[in-house]
Amino acid sequence: MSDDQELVSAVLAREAGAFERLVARHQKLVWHLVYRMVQHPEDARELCQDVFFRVHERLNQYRFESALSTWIGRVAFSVATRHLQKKKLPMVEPAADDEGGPAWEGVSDGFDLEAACADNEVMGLLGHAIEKLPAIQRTLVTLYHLEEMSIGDIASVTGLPEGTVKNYLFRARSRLRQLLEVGMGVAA
Amino acid sequence: MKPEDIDREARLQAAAEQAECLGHPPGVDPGLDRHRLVIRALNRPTALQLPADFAARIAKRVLLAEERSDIEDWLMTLLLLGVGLIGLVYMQPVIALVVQRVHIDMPQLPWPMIAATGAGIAVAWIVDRSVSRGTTSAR
Repeated sequence: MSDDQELVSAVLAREAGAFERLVARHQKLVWHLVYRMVQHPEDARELCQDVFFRVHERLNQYRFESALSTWIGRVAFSVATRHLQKKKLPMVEPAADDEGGPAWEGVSDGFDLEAACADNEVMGLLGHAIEKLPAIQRTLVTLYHLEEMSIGDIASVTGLPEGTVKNYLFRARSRLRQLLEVGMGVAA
Repeated sequence: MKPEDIDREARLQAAAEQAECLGHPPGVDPGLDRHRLVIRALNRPTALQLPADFAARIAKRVLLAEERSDIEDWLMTLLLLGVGLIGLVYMQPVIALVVQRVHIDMPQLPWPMIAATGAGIAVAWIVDRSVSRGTTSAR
């Protein structure tokens, strides 16, 4: 029996501490996904609770056709998407103040990867640029880079075709690289 | 973007991802290093995280909700049984009349067998309910 199966069986049998183990194991994924989508800490915390309540309520419907993390990711994506729809926030379009690159005055023309990584200002501004990506792109780069999910699993979580996932990932990284180069005054 | 630019961009993104994955030393190609910086920024966890006791709090709230739901289930069952019994007592004259009309000789019915069957069904229902509780209440 796989880890997922054991854990799910334990939760359904109401074993003490089983659901807490499930939450602890997947809370990072849910937080990253929800927080990157809604970008509001308080809302994200509440939505994470909703996600796990819903997971508990519907766990008997989980058929082990995908990894438990993928199934939970799907629940989280659906909860966060509904929240954005309720608030009439766009999933695909970039944020209104997305035009123009950030002013990376501290970055010199001679590029040093390690120095740039250690530079909190550069990384902070890149982080800010990630926040300015459209919600769907933020979600996809988070699942791919932070949660190290495969393209297939991301497609399963979001319900998007694999080609669309790859396209959004490409566009997000390309946009961030362009913003970086604009900030550094480098010709693309 | 022109198709050749897209191809170049895609190749650089893939190369940057691979270089990060394999831990290649930077400094060979500044263009590639800028792509690698983007990958590193994307790999960084968010500054804010859920509180350390999040899992324990959620589990506690779920447990409380389950207990409340159990009590509600039993109260509902008791209520339905009570209403059923009252209904039977209230309808007794009508039932007796119907039984007389269809000419069933009540004393000749195998009452011990009927009582045993009823008790068997009740026990099976209680066992089924307690066995399925473990799975259904976790929904």
